[in-house]
Amino acid sequence: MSDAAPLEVRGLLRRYGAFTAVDGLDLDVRPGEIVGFLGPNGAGKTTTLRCCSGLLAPDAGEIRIAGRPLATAPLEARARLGFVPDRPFLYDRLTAWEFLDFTGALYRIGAADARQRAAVLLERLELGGAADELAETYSLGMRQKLSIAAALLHDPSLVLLDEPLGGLDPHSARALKDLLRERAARGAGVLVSTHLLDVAERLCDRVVVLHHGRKRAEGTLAELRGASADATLEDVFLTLTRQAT
Amino acid sequence: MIARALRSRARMLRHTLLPARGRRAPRGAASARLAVALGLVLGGVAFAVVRLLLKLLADAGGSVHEAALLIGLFANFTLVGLLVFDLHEGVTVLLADSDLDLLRRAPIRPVAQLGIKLLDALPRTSLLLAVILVPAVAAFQSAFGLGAIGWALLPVQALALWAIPTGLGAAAALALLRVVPARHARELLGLVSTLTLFALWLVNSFLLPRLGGDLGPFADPRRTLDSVAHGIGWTPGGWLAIALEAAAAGVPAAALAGTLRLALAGGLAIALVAWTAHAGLESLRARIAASPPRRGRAAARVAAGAGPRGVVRAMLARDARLVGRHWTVLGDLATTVVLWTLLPLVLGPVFDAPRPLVARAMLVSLAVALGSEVAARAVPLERDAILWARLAPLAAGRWIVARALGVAVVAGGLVLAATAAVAWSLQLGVRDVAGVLAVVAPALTLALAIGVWTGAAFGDPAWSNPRAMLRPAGRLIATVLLVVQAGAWLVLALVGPPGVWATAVAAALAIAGAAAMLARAAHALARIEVATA
Repeated sequence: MSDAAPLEVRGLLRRYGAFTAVDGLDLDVRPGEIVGFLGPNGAGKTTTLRCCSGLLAPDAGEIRIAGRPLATAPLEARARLGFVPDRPFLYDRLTAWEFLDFTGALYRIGAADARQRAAVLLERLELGGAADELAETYSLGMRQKLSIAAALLHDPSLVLLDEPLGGLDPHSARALKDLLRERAARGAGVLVSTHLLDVAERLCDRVVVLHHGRKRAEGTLAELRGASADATLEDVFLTLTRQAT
Repeated sequence: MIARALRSRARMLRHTLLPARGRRAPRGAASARLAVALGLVLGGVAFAVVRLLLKLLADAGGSVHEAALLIGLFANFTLVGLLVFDLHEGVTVLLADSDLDLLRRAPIRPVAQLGIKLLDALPRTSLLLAVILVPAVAAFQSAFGLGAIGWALLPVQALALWAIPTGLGAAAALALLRVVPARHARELLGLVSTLTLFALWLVNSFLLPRLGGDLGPFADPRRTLDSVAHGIGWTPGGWLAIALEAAAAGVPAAALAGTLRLALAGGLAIALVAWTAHAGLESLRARIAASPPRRGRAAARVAAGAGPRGVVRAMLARDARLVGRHWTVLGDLATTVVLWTLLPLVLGPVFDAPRPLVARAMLVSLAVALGSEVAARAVPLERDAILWARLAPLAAGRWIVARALGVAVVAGGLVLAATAAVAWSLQLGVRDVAGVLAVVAPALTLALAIGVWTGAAFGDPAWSNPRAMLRPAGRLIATVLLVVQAGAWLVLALVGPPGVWATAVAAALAIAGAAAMLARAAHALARIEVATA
C-alpha cells in the first residue's frame, strides 16, 4: 500500500438537471481507516460513492484515489480502487469462478494468483459451494458476496461499499466485517455507506454524516457525541439530520 | 380497482412523456418520446400507403365492399404481426413484471390482478394496431366516410382486435410454458417469435416476387384481392370489413352486428386466458421464480497457466461463454445468417443475374446485416456488467477494440462459412471468390464498427427480447444505417468486379470509417452512467 491517502475529495459537486445531489463535499479516508458514510435516503451517499468510483462524472471538484487524480489519471486511480455497488453488476451467465477469473484479467492478475485469491475470498464469504453455478441462479445475498469478492480480488488501496450488508446473513456479514478490518490493518482505506447505525458504531473508526448533499458532521463517535457522553450514534444521527431539516 | 389502475398508469405515462418543470426526466423518457414520434411517422406512412392502394383499387373499378375487404386483410396481417412481435411482451407482463409480487400481496381478487396486468400489456403490445390498423381505417374513412356510428364503434373494434390474438396467444403460451423448463420461459417465447418471423419472411420473399410480373395476379388488383381474401368472412378482419362497409353505407344495424362478432370473439379470447390463468398462473409464476440452479463449467477448467493474461483473450473467452449459454441469441443469430444470405435471391425472378454477381450481393447483404445483428448486440449483451468498463483500469478504447475483435471472430467465421457454401452451390472459381471477398471484407469491417457504436450508444441493458437489445431511438438509427450501407455496397457489388484501385479505395474508406466509428463507440462507453437508485 502507498502512503498517499486512499481517498481525497475536494469540492465535489454533482447535479441531476436542476437537482443538486452532492454540493461541495470534502472528504478524506486515511490509510488503515474505516469510515462510515451515513445519511438519510436521498442524502447523496450513493451519488458520492459512484463519483468516487468513476461511474458518475462530477460536475465540479477533485477526487484522488491513493494520490492519483481520477479525472486525469483514471486508469491508475481505478487500479487502486475496489467498489461494491448497491446493485451488483454481474454477468448472469457466468459462474462465480468465471466472473472472478475475468475480473482478475481486467486487473492484470495472473491466472493462478487470481484463482488462489478467488478461492480464499469465496471460502471466507461462504460462497465456495455455489461457485460453479451461474450467477443468474444466485439469491440477492449471494450476488452481493460475489460483488464483494470481485471488488477485493486485486487488493485495492481503497474499498468503497454502498450498503454492502443488504441481503447478507449474519455469518456473511461478520465475514465481510472481518475482511474489511483485515484490509484496513494492511493499510487500505475503507468507506462504507450504511443505514445500519449499530454496524457503523462497531465497525467504523470515524463517521461522516451527509444530508441534502452536504456534510453535516464528521469525526469519531466520541467527537460527535460531544457533551452527551451517553448518546448512541442513532441519537447523534437523528439530532444532526433533524437540525439540518 | 381497474379504474384506479388505469389512473395510475395514465399518471406514469404523463410523468414519462411530460415530466414537470425542474424535475429530473425519468429513465427512458427521451426514448418514449421518440417512440411516440416514430409511431406517428409510421402511422402517417401507413395512412398514405393504404390511401394509395384504395385509389388503385377504385381506379380498377373496385367497390366499397372490396375496399373494406382490403382493410380487413390489413387487420388480419396486423393480428399475425401482434402474435409474432408482441405476444412475448404480453406474456412477460403476465409472468415476470416487477410489480407482480406487490399485486399478489394486495387484497385483490386474482381476476382483478389479471385485468390489471392485461391493461399493462395493452400499451406495450398494441403498437401495430396504432400504426397500421387505425391509419388504415382512417384512410378508408377519408375515401368513403364512416359516419358517426363508424367512429363510435372503432374503439370497440380496435380493443377486440387486440384482445383476440392476445387472449388466444397468451392462453396457448401459458399452456406451452407448463411443459418447458421454467427458466427458459422468456427465451422460448423470444425464439418462437424469431422463428415465426423467419417463416413469414421466407413465404414473403419467395412467394410474393413470383406473384408479380405482367402475367401474375398483381396485374389485376381486384382479382388478386378476391383470391387473397378468400375465406376472410370467417376471420376478425372479415367481421371488421362488414362493420366498415355497413358504416360507410349508413346501415348502423349491420355495422353493430359486425362489431358485436368482433367483441364476442375478443371476449371469448380474454375468457380463455382468464380460465387458463385461473387454472395455473400462480403455480407457473412460482415455478419460474424458483427455477433450479444450472451448473456452469467446472471450476478446475477456468484458470490455466500463470502470469498476466491478455484482456482481449479474457473477453473472447467470456463472450464465448455468454453467447454459448444464451441459446435464444444463438438461435436468432443462426436465423439471421440464413435470412440475410438468402435475401438477394428474392431478386432472382426479377433479374437474371450472373452467378458471381448473385454471390457478391448475397454475401454483402450478410456482411452488412451482421453489423446490425451481431456487433450491435455486443455491448447490450453485457447488460449492467458493462459498467465494469468504467470501473476496471482499462481504457474505453481498449474495451471497445476487444468487443470489436470478439464480434469480428464470430462474424468473420460466419461470412467465411457462407462464402464457402455460396461458392460451392454456385460453382464459383477462385478468382470469383477473391472478387467477392474484395467487396465483402471492407463492407464487414465498416458494418461491425457501426454496429458496435450503435450498441454502445443505444444499448438497453434491461432488454428481454433478443431482437430488441437497442432502445427505440437506437433501433431506428440502426435500421437507417443498415439500409444506407446495404444500398451503397449492393450498388458497388452489382456494378461488376471492382478494379484494384477501386477495391483499395473502398477498403481504405471502410477502414477509416470503421476507426472513426470505434472511436465514437469508445466515447459513448466512457460516458455510460448508471442511474441513481
